[in-house]
Amino acid sequence: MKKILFFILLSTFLVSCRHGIKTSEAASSTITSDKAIYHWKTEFNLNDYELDFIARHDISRIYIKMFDVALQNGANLDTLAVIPIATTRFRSPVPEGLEIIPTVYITLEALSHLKGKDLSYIESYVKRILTRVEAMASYNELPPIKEVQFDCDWTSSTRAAYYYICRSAKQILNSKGKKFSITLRLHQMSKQDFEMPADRGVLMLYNTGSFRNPDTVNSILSYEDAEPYIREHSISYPVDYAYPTYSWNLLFRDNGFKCIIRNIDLTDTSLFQKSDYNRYIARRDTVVSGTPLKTGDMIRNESSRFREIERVKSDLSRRHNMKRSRQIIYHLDSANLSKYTDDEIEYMLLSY
Amino acid sequence: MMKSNICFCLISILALLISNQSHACGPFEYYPYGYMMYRVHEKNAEVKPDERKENCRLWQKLSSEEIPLEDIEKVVYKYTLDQMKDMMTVTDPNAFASWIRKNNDMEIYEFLKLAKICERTRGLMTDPWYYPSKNDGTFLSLIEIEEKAKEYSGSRLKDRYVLQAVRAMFSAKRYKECIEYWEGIKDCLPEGLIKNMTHSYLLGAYSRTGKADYALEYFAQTGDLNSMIYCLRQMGIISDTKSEIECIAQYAPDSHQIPELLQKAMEDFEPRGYEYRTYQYRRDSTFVSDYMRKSFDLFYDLSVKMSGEKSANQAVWCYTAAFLADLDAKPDKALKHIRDASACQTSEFMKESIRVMRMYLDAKTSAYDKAYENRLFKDLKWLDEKIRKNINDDIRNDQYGMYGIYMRVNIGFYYWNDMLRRILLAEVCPRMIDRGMYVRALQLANLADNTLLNYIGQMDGMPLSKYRKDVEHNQIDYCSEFFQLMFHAVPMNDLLSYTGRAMSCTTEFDTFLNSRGFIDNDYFNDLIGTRYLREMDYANAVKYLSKVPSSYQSRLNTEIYMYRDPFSIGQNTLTDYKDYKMEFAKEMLRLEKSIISDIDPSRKGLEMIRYATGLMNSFTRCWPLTDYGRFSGSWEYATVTDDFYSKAEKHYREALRIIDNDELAAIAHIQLCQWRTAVEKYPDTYASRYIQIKCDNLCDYKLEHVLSEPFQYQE
Repeated sequence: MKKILFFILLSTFLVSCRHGIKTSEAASSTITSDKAIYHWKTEFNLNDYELDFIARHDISRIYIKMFDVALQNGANLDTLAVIPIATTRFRSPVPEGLEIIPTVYITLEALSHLKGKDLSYIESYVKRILTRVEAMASYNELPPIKEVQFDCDWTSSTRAAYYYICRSAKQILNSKGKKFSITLRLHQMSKQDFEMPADRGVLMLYNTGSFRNPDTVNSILSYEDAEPYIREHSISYPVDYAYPTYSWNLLFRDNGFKCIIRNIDLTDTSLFQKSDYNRYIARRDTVVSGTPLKTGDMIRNESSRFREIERVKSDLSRRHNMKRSRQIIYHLDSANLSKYTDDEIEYMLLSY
Repeated sequence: MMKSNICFCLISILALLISNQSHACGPFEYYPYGYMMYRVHEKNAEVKPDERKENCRLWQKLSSEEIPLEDIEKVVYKYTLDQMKDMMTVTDPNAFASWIRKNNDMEIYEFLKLAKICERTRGLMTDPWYYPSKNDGTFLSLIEIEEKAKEYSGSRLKDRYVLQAVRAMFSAKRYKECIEYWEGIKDCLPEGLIKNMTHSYLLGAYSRTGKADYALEYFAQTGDLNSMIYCLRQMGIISDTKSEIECIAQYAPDSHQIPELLQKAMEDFEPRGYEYRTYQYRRDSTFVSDYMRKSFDLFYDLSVKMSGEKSANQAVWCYTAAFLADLDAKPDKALKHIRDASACQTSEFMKESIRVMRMYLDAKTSAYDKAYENRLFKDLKWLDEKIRKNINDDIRNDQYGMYGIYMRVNIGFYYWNDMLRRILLAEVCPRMIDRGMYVRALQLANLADNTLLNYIGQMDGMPLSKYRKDVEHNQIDYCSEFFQLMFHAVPMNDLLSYTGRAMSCTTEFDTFLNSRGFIDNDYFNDLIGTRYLREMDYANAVKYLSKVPSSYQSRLNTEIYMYRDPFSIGQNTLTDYKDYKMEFAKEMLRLEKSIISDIDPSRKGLEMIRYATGLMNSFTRCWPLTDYGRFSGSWEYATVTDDFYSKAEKHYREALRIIDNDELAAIAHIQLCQWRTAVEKYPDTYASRYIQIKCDNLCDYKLEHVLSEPFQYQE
């Protein structure tokens, strides 16, 4: 009897949540849902697979990371300065008909550096970022830019600085008839006043766990980790959704995270012993892709498992109104994308 | 609980009393095999011609030979754009600026102004936020510069205008245009500095437009390895030092940068000798760890391959192969490679390095016979001369005795001396000791430790003889490898043979070795006497210590510890500690004789207790009687004897057994800190009553528990 009562109450709660979102989003959204993908490399040089992928799945928007804004040694090398790094080089043209949304990643260190500075100082950096984005678009002959996106893993202590950055960026871009969007991380959704000034937001459904924690099963996407954050929100602008398709291998030594290892063959049983479904133990001292491994090192293979994506998206579809949302894949990389079937990709890109 | 706490405290106190260690000098943390040997690159050997000076000379030719180059340099390289703009209207004391104004040389003036604009524009582009844009002023201004430079129709400054046009195009990343322009104009330009400067931009443009191989060839021909490396990286051919060297070796086998790069790369393989005395003093096993094996093999294979190819660097490659083979514990292979190196034509610098390595490999592979000794003598004379000739002011003016410290811990600081020490201390001496050639080993170790010191003749800013006499803490003579060998490794008879031979040379080699070593009778006699004390041979100790003047004690680093009474069980100190060792040896000798001759059991027993106490103390709290320092780790050859414990125990037990006088027995127990036994067993003695009056504290009695079994030595 108690169980039945519980389910009735739960269903009532879920239905009411869904209605709540519907009303808040419907008011401000005017853009139709679309299929999109992120490009998160420092070289834009699409291969045949990637070009075909875009065409086959009718991708109409591509979010291209243009550069990172980081705190590093400036030109005179003796002082730390907020400067652009890892600028993307355009080696191939952007496929015709594709809308480009330049994206800039602002590191937490850079944001911390701007924390507490006066508004004009912050605004000067926003102008520099946007000017550089425009210069890159112009120099590389990108299609006209309608929207610019900022990505930042801001924290409670840097929230204010990021707020001013977003406000300033939105003002500048809107005055030129352009939109400003931001990324939203699940953990940010749980903070008070998490809404930043923007025209759109992209909810990143990845990095849900701590990759540095040796006990984490899968830091890329785990339904258990994400579920507590997938709930009602009151964001006043449309929210889009990004799903991961990447994978990586994380090296741990003495229970501490060491680094990410690329190009490692974990199936080589002479080197690795499988200890768990995604954990491998180095059998002997060796060097893999330039990374020295010691006997007993643990390598955790993490991937964006479709089953998890499906669970998360299915849950989201029940709680959020995703009808007018963009469904975005993170990110355009043939090596990773080829691990999914077309149906799986289509499911990720499907708007409800 | 309380009881166990008290017991714990007492044990701790006792442990402190017994160990009572101080760290006079050492431990040594570096092995002599860690001196870095690889030497192929002569720093500052090739000074590139100064491009800036050369350019100024060209401007001098274009203007007036009377204008100082400094003035030209100031205008060309240091004037701002504003200064340049004012040059024709404002009087300027600079001779070059004045000359341009007086001669109204607008051709030079206009060019310099354009060059300054070009520089300023390029400067803007160094702003990390800069990104070229087809819409911004910077980009347009570069185009304007380019157009203006191309407009020049004269011949006097044609090559310079071409350079500016190319720089502008390159800065605007218009590489294709840059190449097209260059291809069309290059044949019209005079050969020389300006054309070369322009060409280097072009090669940059080539490498950025997928024609890096073209640029590569050119850089290889001109020997511009830095640009070559840039191209190779652009082409994705090289990713690490090894592939870098491999490519350079292929494209420019004669390049002088190969030794430079190899020098850098090989430093990673040098053993450095940081081990904490955990390995053998001499290391015969491979230094190549699993971690470095792959990279090591690649370098070795490359070296062997290049050793077989004729080039200006052939000797360098042979030498490298020898160096690597030796690291991998293949000295015979290494010897073959170094012989190949000796046969190659090469620089004097390399010939020296080859000879040093051959000398080192010879030490590793030779039978230690007469022939080897002859070769060694010849080589040592050569090395000795190198040490003497190459001492520079940095070493000579060492005010802080740093080389004393460096040598003590085997840290490299002077190649020639480092090599002498590495060859002799890491290879020759240990092998000679293995073969029982102690005297020669000591002579060579003495030479290795003292050659440089003797040539410099000073330490801590004072003459060596004064240093040895007056300095509070002698940094050299009681920590040197020579000292360690004498004090720890060499049998006494051989040590005596050595000191005898040090005083009277028999051969030319002996004379050579002794003349470069440290020969001091007092030093030797004190050391021999101390060794006899350590061996509990007090008669011989007296024999040798009696030859040491009283004043010598102040030369010992351990003098500051020579106040403890060696015959006291407690912490008694001496008021007169002159001839500390000698007095101790004499007393021990007297006790030995007295114990044999005394027929009174009680007196004999007390003498035995005094003897046993002296014995124990001379190795524990009064350790300066038998040692020159206390090390947390001991030298490899050091032999720590436990004999004194058993000998002392025997005397103590025998003494208590034979004493038949209650008063003396109580005193004996008191001397052994067995106060409770003295009180309980001999309550009516004066000694017992004295204890009861003085020791009213429980812990004084408790201490006996700990001391009741004083001979159970535990680590």
